[in-house]
Amino acid sequence: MELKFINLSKCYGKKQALIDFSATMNEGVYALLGPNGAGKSTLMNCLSDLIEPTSGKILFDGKSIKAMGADFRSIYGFMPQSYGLYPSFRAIDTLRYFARLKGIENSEKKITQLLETVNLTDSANKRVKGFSGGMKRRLGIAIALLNDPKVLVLDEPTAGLDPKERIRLRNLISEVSFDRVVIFATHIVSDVEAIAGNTILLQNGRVLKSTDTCSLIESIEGKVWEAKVRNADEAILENSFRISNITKVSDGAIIRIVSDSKPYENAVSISPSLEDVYLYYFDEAASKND
Amino acid sequence: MTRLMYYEWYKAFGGFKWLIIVVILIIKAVFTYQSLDVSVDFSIPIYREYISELSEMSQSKAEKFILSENERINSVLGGYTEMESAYSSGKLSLEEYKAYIKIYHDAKSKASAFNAVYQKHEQLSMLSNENRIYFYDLEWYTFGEYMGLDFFAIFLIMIFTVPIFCREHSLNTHHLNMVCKNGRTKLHITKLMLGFISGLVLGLLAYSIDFAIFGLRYGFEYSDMPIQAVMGYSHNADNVSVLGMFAAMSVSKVLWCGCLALMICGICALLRNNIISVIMCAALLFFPMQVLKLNENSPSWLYSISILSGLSGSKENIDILTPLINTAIWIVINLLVTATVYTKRRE
Repeated sequence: MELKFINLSKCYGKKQALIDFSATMNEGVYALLGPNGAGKSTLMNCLSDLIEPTSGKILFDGKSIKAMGADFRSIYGFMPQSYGLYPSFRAIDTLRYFARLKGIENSEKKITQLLETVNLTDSANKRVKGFSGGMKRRLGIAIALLNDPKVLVLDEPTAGLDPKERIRLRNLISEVSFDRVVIFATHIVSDVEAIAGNTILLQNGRVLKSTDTCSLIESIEGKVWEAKVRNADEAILENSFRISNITKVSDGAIIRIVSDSKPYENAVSISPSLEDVYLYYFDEAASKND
Repeated sequence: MTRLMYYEWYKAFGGFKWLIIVVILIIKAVFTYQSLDVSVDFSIPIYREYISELSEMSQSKAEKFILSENERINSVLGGYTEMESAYSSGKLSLEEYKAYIKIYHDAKSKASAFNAVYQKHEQLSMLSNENRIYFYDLEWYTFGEYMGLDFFAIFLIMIFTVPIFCREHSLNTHHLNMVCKNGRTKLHITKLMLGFISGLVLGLLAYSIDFAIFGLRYGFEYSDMPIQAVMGYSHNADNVSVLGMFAAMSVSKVLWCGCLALMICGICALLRNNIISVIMCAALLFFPMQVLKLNENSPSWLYSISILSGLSGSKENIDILTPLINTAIWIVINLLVTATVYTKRRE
């Protein structure tokens, strides 16, 4: 299974939302990481055929997804960042309706299984209008999974979920990813770290870095430091370096710094995390843009 | 597609939305009941009496009767001044004058009703022999006058058809739908079919209420009489009974209701906003009629294509073809809209 993006670009008037995006994806979890306006949703909407790319194409197993049309949609699952559901429908009706829309026959068993997977079995007969944001999100994921999609795209899937639900959902994404391409966009770096085998960093419509998540973390090895500083030095360091964490102690603070060179006399190099990667690349890109 | 249609139907009419239809139809029934009061500027019992007498006469006898009655009433009413001066000058005794005054009041009370009978006689005399039939037609006449523009039907169709295409955009579910296998053309066609069927059913309900209320109130007496014999319908060229004419008129209007629903569907699919769509639909409904009102030399096709004109009352011939042509036109427009929305204008 291969999903290939070839020089995909999208312009809204003069604004370029996505610039020459190229990537090849196989089975596994791909995280799209980037600040607001980086082009994550634009990329997902192009893949969902909700917007027409200005140039470039997307191929699934060598065939253009545009030419595949309904055939591609039958193996595609998508949960947009913001979406509504029919308030008068019960959860089970919603899934039945989308099962019809997806052209699935005999969907009852699948629906029961999915309701259990997303922990909505007890609310199956409740109307959606009474659902919390998290419940709606879980129902959205169930909708996306209804047709056992080969390509599953989730835009901010864990937004609005409590920590327990987030972990549950992360595990679910991991479970279903072994035989499909899962792409998800998020701001929550810990989600990426937990489940994404591959990470694509996007900034202003361009790919900053695209590699497996471990390599990405390794790429800033030796650039993350920790130092115990006096109160007086804290403000100076904050103004001069990218600070990823500050822990106050009685006689000063322990500061985690992302820097190419040793930032402070007693600073020691420590293992980087994906949050440090985020800070390293996006701050760097931002300062270049400035 | 049947199951998909069921869910689309549920979205449009499910929950307690059907109660809105019931409430509007009850209001319409009350309105219809009140509007079907026969209201004319002459005495209904006298008119009925004349018509009853005439209906039992042969055509020649009826004609003679009308002419002589016309002469009698005119001479009695016209002789008032002369009789009054004759009585004043003593040429007429009190008894004779009293007898005249009695005749005079009788003629005066009958004059306006007879005038209506006379007009009806003139109307019938233009028709072929088999259509020259006298029957009490004021109830059917009132029914015909009432069957004009049915705002209840238009309102019902508007409030139930507009959301069929705008609901997804107002609820923000359209992206979820559009990424589904059947979420584009098939869903659009299902919605279109639902819109058309809803238009037909709501129209049928609205016009059935009219018939039901009329039937309950007056029965369907004289429904088998030729339509040309009903006041105001003499120019109709169709060989059809009174009931046949009103039934055909209703069928034509129901078809126009379907056409109206299709127009709304097309506009809503393009504009995707409840309020803007309603404004645009109202403009498209009323604009051709306003142009016609302002300019009498407007082309006749403007009248033919106007859905509002089809929904208005007509005493002319039965026309089923025009709403069918309009329906076909709107189906083509809707298919083009489908293609546009889902290929070129996805966002």
